[in-house]
Amino acid sequence: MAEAESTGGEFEREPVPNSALMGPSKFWGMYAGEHCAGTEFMIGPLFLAAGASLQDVLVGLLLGNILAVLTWRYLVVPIAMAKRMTLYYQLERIGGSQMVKLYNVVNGVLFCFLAGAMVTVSSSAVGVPFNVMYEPPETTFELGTPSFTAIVLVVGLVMSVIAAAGYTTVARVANYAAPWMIAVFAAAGIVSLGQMGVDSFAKLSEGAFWSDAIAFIQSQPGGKQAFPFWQLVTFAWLCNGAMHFGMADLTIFRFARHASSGWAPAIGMFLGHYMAWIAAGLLLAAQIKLNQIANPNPGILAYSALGWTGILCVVVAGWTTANPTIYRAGLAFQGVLPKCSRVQMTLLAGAVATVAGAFPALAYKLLDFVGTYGTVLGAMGAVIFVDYWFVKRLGLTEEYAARTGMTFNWAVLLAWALPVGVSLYLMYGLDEANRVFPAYCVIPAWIACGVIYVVLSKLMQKPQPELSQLADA
Amino acid sequence: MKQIAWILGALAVATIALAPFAYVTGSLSLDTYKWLALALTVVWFVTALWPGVEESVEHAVDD
Repeated sequence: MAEAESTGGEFEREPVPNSALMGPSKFWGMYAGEHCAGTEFMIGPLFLAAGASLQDVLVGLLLGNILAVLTWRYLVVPIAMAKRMTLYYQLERIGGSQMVKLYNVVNGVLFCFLAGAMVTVSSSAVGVPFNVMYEPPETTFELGTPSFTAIVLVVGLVMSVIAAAGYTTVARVANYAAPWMIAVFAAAGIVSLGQMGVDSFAKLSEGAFWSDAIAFIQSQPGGKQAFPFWQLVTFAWLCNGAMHFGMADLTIFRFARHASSGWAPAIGMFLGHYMAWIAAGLLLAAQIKLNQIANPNPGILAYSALGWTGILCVVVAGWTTANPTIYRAGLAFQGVLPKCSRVQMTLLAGAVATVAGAFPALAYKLLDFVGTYGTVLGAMGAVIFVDYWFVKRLGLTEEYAARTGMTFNWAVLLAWALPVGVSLYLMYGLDEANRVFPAYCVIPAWIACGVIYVVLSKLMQKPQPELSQLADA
Repeated sequence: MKQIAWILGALAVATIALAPFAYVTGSLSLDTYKWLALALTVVWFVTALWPGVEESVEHAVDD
């Protein structure tokens, strides 16, 4: 307990004791809040803009989200409840403290870009009352209009300062706001149907409101795209690859009293990543029908359907998810520079996120970004999976760095870097026509990482005495 | 009082989510709904922040 207190009372460097375990409500509340984010207002319209059919969206997202929930429940929860350690500490015990620092830098930077997209989305809503529009430029790394950039800077500054002040208050606000946000998302979808004149089940099942919107988008210059069924399934399953395949949520589920808490992500998936995405897609379809504008500006979309409640929802949804993301990025950076305070590192993370948010086209690339994020961070989860389930059975030493005192386990770095490097090349190194959709790389990279780790461990590990032998000695 | 706040909050959220059906069927104008949703948003946050409501919801879920 003394150590827990010395590390902030969060049991970062020891298993969570029985006295600190939590019931399911905390997990259901947390997942409801975290997965009803401001970015859902962006992702749903992007499916429509990419030409996904309504039937594919309804069935594909359903299947993908079921797979995501099962992955959390059966991949993450058993290890989390057996070890009751954070991802970082578990990784440190396998890969060594220096290896974890490298992982932390990558983790922190990716968190900052994700938070940046949330800053952009919130700014799109803050700009509406000032008549400042979110209009993404042609190229990815090009600033928006000066007035939009100014709003991004203010929103980013406020979010960073609040994140630096602490996480608890924001987490509580997120919990309070979650049921309301879910209701607002649902309302947005129904209002959009009303705006498109879909007032009967026959019109709803006919789906002309969706296919007409796709036809309009595809008639625009550069609008001809496709987003087939399996791409939707894969995206819905693996957009949170870092959390489940990547084992980031070991940090959350180590507090679970019962394995049934592992079903809690279902609320985030089916409300945030199903209902909310579809509702947000309907917002864009309604905008196209009413105004023939295909730009998915989250602030305008929400305002036209729900007025000030919509604006408030985009800001709150962006804020309550950007804050913990900036906070976590700050913690990741602090792991690399332990002499700097958490406040300093959170402000640094907030500054990086704000700069990222100032490039509005980055939020347009959200579908690619979350796939990249899942591939890069997700692959590392295979090392933990293999270490827990297979290493001992294969005659190797589990938690090798902790057992040998090494600070950098090259087997972990190579097992991570090789598949991730190849994946990044396939995603961004090829011609535009031959590039692989980033979410497709998550599982192959994860499997490759696990296999390479076993092979390299066979080659590089030196036999260690069993713990029981050490005790006898 | 805690239970009344609980019920009021639940009703507010349910109304925000379901009242748009009245707009779809033409019995409520969109402008009216927008102002109703804003007022109910205030009701939700007041009731959610009401002392003791959060704990009683958590106990209900855990049980």
